[in-house]
Amino acid sequence: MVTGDTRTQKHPLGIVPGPLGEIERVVPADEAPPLPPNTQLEWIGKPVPRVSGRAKVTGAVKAAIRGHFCRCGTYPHVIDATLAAAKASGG
Amino acid sequence: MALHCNFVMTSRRDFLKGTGAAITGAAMFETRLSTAEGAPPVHSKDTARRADAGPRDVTLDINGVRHAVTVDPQMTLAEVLRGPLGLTGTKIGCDRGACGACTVWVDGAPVLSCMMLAVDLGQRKLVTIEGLARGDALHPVQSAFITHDATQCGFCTPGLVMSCAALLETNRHPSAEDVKAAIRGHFCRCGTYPHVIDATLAAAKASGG
Repeated sequence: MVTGDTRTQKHPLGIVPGPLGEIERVVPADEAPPLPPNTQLEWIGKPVPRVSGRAKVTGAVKAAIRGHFCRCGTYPHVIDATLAAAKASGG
Repeated sequence: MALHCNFVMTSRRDFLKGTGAAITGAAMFETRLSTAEGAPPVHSKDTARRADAGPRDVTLDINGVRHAVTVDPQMTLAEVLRGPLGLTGTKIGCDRGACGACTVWVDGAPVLSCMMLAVDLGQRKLVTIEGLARGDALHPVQSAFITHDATQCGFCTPGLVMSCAALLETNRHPSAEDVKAAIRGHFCRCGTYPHVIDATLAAAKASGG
């Protein structure tokens, strides 16, 4: 239940890629406007090339986790930390 | 929780060290026996071979460049690549031929460099992940790995790229089953196999396959 100052706002309703409907809801007066569908957004829902992709496929990445199997799956963080360290040291 | 795999099984390196110690011990025992009996020391063919078992100079043809390097006979190709030669793109995951991370090309065929001694390379041509791209132009498989996000942590990536690129060298129209067969023996802890297969098929298509 929304209390205080309110207003009504229309929201898209549905699951992409199906047809989107519209629903009107009561929201707080300072509620942000609803996001438009992803197709109209610049970043959300768009694939972004992995920053370290080229380094990984050319063998430029120097990993410090040789022989270590990590069950927590923290490899990406280890790699990112290694890359950051290499960048910081001018590598 | 970090889990080391080395305590489960004897590593290849430890096995080689142990074997070397056993041979040396046997040689000393043989020599002492001979001396004790007053007979001259026996110099068998094996003894002569052991005498020159120290570091040796070899010239390796890697990525089209010949590298002169001094290696111990027991050093694997992967160790020489990553150590004296500084080609750290080739990864050592398990060091016992189980994970495929160290895959390189020997005369165009994918080979596990942790299961091959550097002195056994001879005059054969070696290609590592560093030699796959032509300058700034990536190999189609490398480009496809990036666009299809076939890397996560990236540790197994060089080996996978080498095997997938080797597949396209011999089969320009691979099916998904062909790719699966080519990457059999590669261990990806992140589980990027579906993207690897998609990337390789896309690379084949981009190459006119």
